[in-house]
Amino acid sequence: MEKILVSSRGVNLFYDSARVLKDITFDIMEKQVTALIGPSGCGKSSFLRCINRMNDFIPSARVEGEILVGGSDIYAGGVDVIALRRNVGMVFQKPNPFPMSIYDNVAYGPRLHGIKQKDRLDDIVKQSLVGAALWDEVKDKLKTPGTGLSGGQQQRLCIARAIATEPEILLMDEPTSALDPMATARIEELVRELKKRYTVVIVTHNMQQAARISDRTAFFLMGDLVEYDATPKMFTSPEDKRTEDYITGRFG
Amino acid sequence: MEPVITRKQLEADLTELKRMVLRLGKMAEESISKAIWALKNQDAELARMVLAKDDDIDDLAEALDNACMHFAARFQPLGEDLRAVTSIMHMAVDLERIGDYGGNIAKVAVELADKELIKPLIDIPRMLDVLSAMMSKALVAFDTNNAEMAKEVFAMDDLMDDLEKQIMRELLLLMMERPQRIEQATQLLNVARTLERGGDHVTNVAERVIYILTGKTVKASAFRRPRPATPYAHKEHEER
Amino acid sequence: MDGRRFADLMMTIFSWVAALLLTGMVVAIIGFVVVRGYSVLSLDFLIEPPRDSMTRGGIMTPLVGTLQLVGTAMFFAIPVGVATGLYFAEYAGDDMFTSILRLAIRSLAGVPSVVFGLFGLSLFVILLGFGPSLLAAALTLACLTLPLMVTASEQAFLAVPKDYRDASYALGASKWQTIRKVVLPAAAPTVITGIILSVGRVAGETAPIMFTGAAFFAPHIARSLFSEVMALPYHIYVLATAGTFIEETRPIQYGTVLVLLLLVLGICSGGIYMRSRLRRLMRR
Ligand SMILES: Nc1ncnc2c1ncn2[C@@H]1O[C@H](COP(=O)(O)OP(=O)(O)OP(=O)(O)O)[C@@H](O)[C@H]1O
Ligand SMILES: [Mg+2]
Repeated sequence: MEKILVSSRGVNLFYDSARVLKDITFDIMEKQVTALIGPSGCGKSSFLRCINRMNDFIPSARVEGEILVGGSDIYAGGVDVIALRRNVGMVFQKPNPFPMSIYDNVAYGPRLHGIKQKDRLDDIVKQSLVGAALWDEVKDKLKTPGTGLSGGQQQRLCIARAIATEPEILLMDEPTSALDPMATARIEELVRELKKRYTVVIVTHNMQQAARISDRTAFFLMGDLVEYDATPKMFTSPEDKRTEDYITGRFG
Repeated sequence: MEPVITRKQLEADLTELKRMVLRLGKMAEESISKAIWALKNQDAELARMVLAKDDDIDDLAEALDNACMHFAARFQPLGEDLRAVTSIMHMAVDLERIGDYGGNIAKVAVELADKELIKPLIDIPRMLDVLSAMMSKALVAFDTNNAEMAKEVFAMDDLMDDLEKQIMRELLLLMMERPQRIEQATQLLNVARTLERGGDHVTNVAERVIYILTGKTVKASAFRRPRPATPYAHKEHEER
Repeated sequence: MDGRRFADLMMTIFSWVAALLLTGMVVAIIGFVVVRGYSVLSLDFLIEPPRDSMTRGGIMTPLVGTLQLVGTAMFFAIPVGVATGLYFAEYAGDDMFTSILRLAIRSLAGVPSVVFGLFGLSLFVILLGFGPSLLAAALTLACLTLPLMVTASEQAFLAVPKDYRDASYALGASKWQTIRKVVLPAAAPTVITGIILSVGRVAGETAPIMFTGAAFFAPHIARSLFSEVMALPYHIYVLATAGTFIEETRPIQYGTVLVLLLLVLGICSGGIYMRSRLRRLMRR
């Protein structure tokens, strides 16, 4: 029943001449949570940004190799990057709602993609906020600024905004690193809920968090994918000594 | 979250857990050794001392269990640390059980202290020697992170089985010769059985040591001489 | 008391004195103008044109003229200034050409306003043949304010957090969509502040309009872009230096100065109020 959704085939990423990702090859399963862990600067964010081609905005960045999403290479010529980004949502480290109302934040994506009817937008906004476990807290103040919410609520608003375009994949780059433990717990709970409908790829520095919420874990080290396996295996008895050293905190 | 910060404290606490395991192992080993000596030398005094110490062993095992939980709660260990703490919890159970066996044997020793032994005890002390050797090997392997040494324990368990069978045959003969010996012979048979089970527990400890160090679950049987699949041998393992 | 504490105390006292001095000066100037000009201030003063060689009547014509000049100047300056700021912030590369362009615009801000006046005279009045007119004067004022406007709006756009852009792009927005729906609204409060500060500056300028369209005297308010206009700053200048009855116009001079002062202050504080309201609306 496990199905491959994203397949990275020999991906190399260069910033100018610096090789930041080296021959990354692994498969991400549909409707699972895949955690990317590794010390700072090892290329986790860079890899994440390859999946929705956010690296396109960095002039010095160059990608080699293939990333297949649903079987087709997103780096092939003639790929519709807009459609790709609609299909691959992203949530950032710092909650970054737009300086506009909660409603407009969530409706931003759907409006971009041409949905104008009020009742359809209303419906999408509600469904997305429900999906992000925020609806009950904001249903009476949809017109107030999204930036007026607490950090944890803002991050859930960003998740609602990301799922409003009905993506298949959600990329999350350290989504809880700016949040307190309670807000973090709510996001983690939400991630587990989200994987029923979405394929989640999450970068985290918190190993316990990766252990709690992910099905598979990939360990990156200085641009290499050192080990990739089922999460319980990764955190109890990894194959590679470097993984062992990292998860036990011998270096980090 | 930078894991580096806690590593030092974690290692200090883990070392403390290890020391407790070694202490528990030592106490268990002492308990069973003294019980056998008491049996052999018909020394009721020594046997009662063993019984008195039983509670200490239980207390230490419980303390170790608690310390493991505290360790887990405090560090939320992963990888080798996680394997270590869960394994130590299991090892505490195994070692405590060996200590209990010492108590069981000590009770027999008290009973037989003023009775004439049906035979001089030779093979039972020999079993003890093997068991002690296994225990010290397993504990040293644990202390020095030596997986190879832990594997040596498995083969020694074969010796325990051999000795137990030999004792059983001998006692059966004695019982057949004179039925009055049946009571004492059964008791001695139980002692031998108990020692053999002690061997199994030490084997478990050795398996755990290997798991901690390598992350692999090993089956002791893979390192032992192939045994004919007697239904009796199987049942013996299912019992526990 | 140790040295550091002492230095700290001295610095505090110094800052307070400096601040008090500055406030005192501003209050003194305003007070002086108010005391001298207050007596002539009335509704009539505002809605009547100057009469009797400007010794009587009000300042309706120069007041309206100033508003016309500012309005027309902004009509041209805002789109060009904001668009140029946007270009520098969002589109221009990091090459020699844009660096030179940027440097040129920055240095324009330091050029004396009379130079703009002469430039306006030769380009708009003579070369383009507009003659001395509202249009020529307003265009000259627009040129004067452009450097400020460009720099202010460029800074405003650059100050929009990268997070917003990332979020927008990640949702599949194009560059223009991102600019229109996220960058522009987010930068608006700062841009508007820049515009209003320019308005304040433009309203008080004399030199650029002197040669290009400000009239010594005009009987009516300007009805077309090509007529000359009276303007408050120039009116003051005229009353104080070039009139026939300088002494007799003193009260009117102070009244006019007071009105100009209030106008500029009003515009600035209005701008600040608007910015803070917009800010509150956008983020918190
Ligand atoms: N825009 C860029 N231009 C040049 N080098 C970059 C750029 N972004 C990242 N790098 C470099 O690429 C490497 C990987 O960076 P990346 O941000 O992917 O690491 P990371 O694993 O996400 O780290 P962190 O855990 O700190 O977020 C780093 O050495 C970094 O310096
Ligand atoms: Mg990162």
